[in-house]
Amino acid sequence: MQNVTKILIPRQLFMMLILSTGLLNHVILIPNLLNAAGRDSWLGVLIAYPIGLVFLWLVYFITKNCSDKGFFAMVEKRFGKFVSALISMPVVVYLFLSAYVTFRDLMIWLNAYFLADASVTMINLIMILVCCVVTLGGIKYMAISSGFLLPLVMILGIFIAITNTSIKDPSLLFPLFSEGYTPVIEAIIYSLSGLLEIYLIVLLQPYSQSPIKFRHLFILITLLMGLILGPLTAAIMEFGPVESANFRYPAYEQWRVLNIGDYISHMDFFALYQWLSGAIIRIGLFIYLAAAFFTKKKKQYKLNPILVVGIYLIFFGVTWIEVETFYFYEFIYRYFLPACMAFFLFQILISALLIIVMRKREDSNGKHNQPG
Amino acid sequence: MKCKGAISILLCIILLTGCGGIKNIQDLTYIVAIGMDYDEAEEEYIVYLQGLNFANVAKQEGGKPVEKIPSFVGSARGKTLNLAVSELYGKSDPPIYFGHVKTLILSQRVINSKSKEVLEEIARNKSLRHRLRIVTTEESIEEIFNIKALFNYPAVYTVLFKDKANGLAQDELQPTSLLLFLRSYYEPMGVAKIPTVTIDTSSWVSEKEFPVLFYDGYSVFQQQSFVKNITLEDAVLLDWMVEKNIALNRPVKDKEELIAAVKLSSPKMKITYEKDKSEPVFSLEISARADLLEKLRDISADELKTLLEEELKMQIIHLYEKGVDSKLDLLNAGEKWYRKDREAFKELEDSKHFYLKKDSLKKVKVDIQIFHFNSYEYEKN
Repeated sequence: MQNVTKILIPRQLFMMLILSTGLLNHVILIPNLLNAAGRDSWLGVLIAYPIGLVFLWLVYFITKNCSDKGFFAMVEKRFGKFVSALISMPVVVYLFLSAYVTFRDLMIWLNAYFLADASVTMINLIMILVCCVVTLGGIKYMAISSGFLLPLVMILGIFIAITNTSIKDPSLLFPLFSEGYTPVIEAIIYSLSGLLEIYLIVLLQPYSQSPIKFRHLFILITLLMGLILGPLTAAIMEFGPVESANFRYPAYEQWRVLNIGDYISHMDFFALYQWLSGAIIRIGLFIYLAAAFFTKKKKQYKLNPILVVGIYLIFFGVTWIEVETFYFYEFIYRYFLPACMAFFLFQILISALLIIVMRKREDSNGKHNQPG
Repeated sequence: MKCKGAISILLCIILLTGCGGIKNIQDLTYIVAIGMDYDEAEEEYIVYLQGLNFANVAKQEGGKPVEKIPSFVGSARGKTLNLAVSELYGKSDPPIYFGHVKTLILSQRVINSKSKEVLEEIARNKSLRHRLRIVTTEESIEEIFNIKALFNYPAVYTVLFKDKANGLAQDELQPTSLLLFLRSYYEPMGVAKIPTVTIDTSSWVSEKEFPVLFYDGYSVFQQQSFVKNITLEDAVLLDWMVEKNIALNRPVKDKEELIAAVKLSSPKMKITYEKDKSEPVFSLEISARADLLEKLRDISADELKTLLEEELKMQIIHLYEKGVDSKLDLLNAGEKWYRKDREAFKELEDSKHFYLKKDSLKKVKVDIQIFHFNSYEYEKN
């Protein structure tokens, strides 16, 4: 059997990231953005983009200066277990929490629109089973299947954007700063919490066959920004800022108003395809990356099945905890997304700092070793 | 390998559970329209449902007139829309299905007292989509639901379910959807309009008089509350100016004498605001194309044009003033002003009074070009 190590070219990794982070940006972020800033939310996204670019450059700097084994392996080697645990623990917590948020949000949506009569336990069980299989398959198969899923997801996205053009009214996007400046700042925080997920590149880098280029990252973040901006502006242009903020799932509502001629409507099942592909890759990937921290042997890049199944069993157990949906959404809005933004900001800065320290040491070591 | 086979069979069993809830289309009662009325004495909503009869919708071979099949209208009362509808669940077999509701009719009484609550309830409902057409009515909803289209066609061919006309519609109002209504409803300036529907008994006869439905005006909302109904005449003129896609047939009069009839295509309307005002002060410039339909008296083309322009100008000013009298910004004059100038709008919003006065409209300029005279030349030599 061919060795799966380093089989992935960066493009495949990015497809996976676009699916998973795209889902966050598309689905989870947009209602929060609309709640925070209403009509001005799209402005916040545009302002967040250059800020994101600065951090993108830092992420590029980190990946460029990493060894093949990846950033965290390198930190462990140079600074010891304690430092490595200190900076990897928050990442693990983030991965689990984010997977849970994605999972629960998906489940509530499924139960509200498509499987209204089905039991929540059944939805949970099937979703967990599928995600578990995806994680067990490993990163290689995840990336390859993203290559198949993503094009259709994108085509459908473009399709809905074009077919709804006739009901869009761009003037609803104005005036700028209609509520003053504070909401825009909030919108920047929320959009950054989505854009800065590019930090995951640092986790994915050890699986990449060839070095990651800045050009790739630039395209990635631009796409991610577009994924927020597209449906967000569309929601405002179609429903107006007040009504779109009323919606729990503004991006999905655009599918519900799709209407072509007299006879074609009710095509929202396509949203099911988009959403499910995004969510399954996102949950599968996040659990995979989290579990990878607990795996010693990384040769095959396939995780220990017992570990994975164990994690999913815990995950399934967690879904039994009754969290009031209202407070769940409040939690996402008030704490989770702002915390994500802060977490990524610090994480990227600290990682970059560690790299700089390492390079300094290397330099001075190099000088010492030089004969003379 | 055995294990793999077993897993795939198991997966199929789990994944195919989706087919367990499958419903056959003939086993459902499709509701195509919902009507809502409000009983003020009892503080209860009265809900009417119009069921779709497949026998009547399917196009039949040969096109011979179909026999009369009565409409099905269900009704129930309750404290809210959903509670009222739930009264009907037990009494409807085959079970009712709301996935294809196309139209919502609100009675005048709902609009008068409960418009805010009802609109929110409807928009929240996950079975109803924002493409839902909305109309209001002063007639009895039951009667409206029982009216058929011409030639005894089923109710789904009436104006309640009609789509927007392709190209220019003539002298009639266009349907609006919940989506379009709500987005202007929530805007801080400008009006939101729902067409009102009425029964007309005098136009068509078949053996006895044959009632038909038509739009006869607008229920107009400003700043999230219902203000009043406007008549068909005003509504059509308003639509012609603001909404586009509508053409007007107009008589041209010299004092009381009828001179000609023209068709006016949809105009370009330009609003220019005076700068540095705390409220919108503006002038209108309207240019449109006219086609001569009939000419009853010899009059020079220039004179005809001036007469037409003068009359339109008077009507527009009149319409605007009527609007201001009842605190309506019918021409949506505030809207563009608001989009440009946030600061001034903030001030205005804080002061909480209506932003238009009769003299806010400084000047109206109407420019009509008579493009063709039908198939004759204009002047006989």
